[in-house]
Amino acid sequence: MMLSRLLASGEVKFGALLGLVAVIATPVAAADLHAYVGAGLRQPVTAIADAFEKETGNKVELEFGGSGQLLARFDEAGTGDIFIPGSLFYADKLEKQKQVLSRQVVVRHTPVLAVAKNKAGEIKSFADLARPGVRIGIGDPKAMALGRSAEDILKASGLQEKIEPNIVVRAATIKQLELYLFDGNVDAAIVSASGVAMNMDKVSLIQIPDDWYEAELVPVVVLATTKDRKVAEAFVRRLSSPEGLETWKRFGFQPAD
Amino acid sequence: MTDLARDLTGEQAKVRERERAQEQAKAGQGRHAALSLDLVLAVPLAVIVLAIAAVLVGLGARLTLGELMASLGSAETLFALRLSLTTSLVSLAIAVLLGVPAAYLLARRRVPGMALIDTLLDLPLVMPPLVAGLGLLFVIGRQSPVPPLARLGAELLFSQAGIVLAQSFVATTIVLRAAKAAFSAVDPGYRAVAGTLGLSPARVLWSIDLPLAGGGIAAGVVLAWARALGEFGATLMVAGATRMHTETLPMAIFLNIATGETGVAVACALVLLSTAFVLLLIIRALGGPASQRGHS
Repeated sequence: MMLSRLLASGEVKFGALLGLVAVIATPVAAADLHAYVGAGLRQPVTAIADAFEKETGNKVELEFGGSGQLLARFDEAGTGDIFIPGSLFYADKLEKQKQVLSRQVVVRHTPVLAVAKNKAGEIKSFADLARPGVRIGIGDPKAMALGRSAEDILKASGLQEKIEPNIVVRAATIKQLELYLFDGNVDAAIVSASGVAMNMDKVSLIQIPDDWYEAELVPVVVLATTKDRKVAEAFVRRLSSPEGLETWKRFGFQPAD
Repeated sequence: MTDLARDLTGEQAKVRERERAQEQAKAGQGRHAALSLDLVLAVPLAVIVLAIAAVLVGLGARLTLGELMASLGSAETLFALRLSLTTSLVSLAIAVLLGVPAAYLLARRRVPGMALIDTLLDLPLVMPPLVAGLGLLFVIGRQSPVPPLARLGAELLFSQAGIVLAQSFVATTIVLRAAKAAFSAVDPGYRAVAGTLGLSPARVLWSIDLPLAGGGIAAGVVLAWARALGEFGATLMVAGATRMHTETLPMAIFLNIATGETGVAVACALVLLSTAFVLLLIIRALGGPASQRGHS
């Protein structure tokens, strides 16, 4: 009697556990596409993926992270349909690993020199960055796409040697750098137009000549591991469609060509 | 009389022998039972040891010898190792200087609102380091709600001193927790007797409480140091990720992962782990009996 009751309760628990596993596993199985997306691209890609799901009924599951970290994740997982890193660098790495079915450049990052509001009166040009006591933040040139652009820009400005001593911090991600900038913990930083687009009340911008840097491009890669190439390619087309590009622009990205 | 005495001692000897035999049998049974219990207990131990070993093997298997040598010889790794060791030891010193005295007070005095203070002191333990870093950044940043702290922050932010600030923030409460538990475990009777014998409170602390609580404090110090050495999130926020300036070993690992240089990152991780392993082993060898007392 006792035993049978115990067994029954055990069965109930086991059944509940199975149910729980099913609940956890179901959305993954039902998701039509899995996309790895650079953290800096979160807003436009989320907006377009939502629109894509409404239009076609195909769900795109988005995984955000630093592009290098996502690449390491993909290497281990060996699954997924789409990879949208913040720079061509990672698409090239995927190409070397023979994981690319197709790739297309969609938009480009536009680096801007952003100055914290309280310093806008003092810093009006690149020359002002060389003044003693100015606190500048830029991205790590290896870890961040815009860190590489920043190096190019400083070189092209002809003032690199004078500006360099004023660089007080290098950040590992663009969002970290923006955090320092918006609070005024650095006076000026080279960030992306997309990052400051939503925070124009906190900074003022100094334009950077186009020929000072090689623009960092945002590629969309269809992975060799995709389970549904047709739907994946359709999502890529949606990302680069005129409506898609409008969404990108709204968040501060420029079309690639 | 003597016969009787002899008989008695003979009887006693027999009884004693029987008792000894019984005791031996009991001890044998005890040993046997203890052995089978130990065999059962060995299973979870094996699971834990295997899990740790598997993680290490997983890391090591990803690494080629070339990558290991390249990263061991690089100026960046060596810089990061040196910076990690110096900052974590300075942080540890701060944690001990603040944590041990505070713990001594908390362990001896009952003040109203104690539960509140105690719980507050637990918060850094559950706080994700990134959040601790954000909090530190906000409170010493230029928008600080306490303006004098912003002036201090101008010196600390993005500097190696900032690393120490971040590490000691997470390490101090670990030392405090361990030291408080260790002091509380000391029988207050010793303290009372020493007091009646005329020892000053400072002498009581120095020659009674500290030696008796030493093992427990040492165990906490080791934990706190390990935490400071591996600290990443708070350091990232407060000191930034500037290569060859605020680049500790965990920072080097993160930067290399972000760059897609997983091999170099793993090499840095193994440098960190083997350094910690050797240092912990040395500490254990030096403070062997003391730290065992603390654990029991």
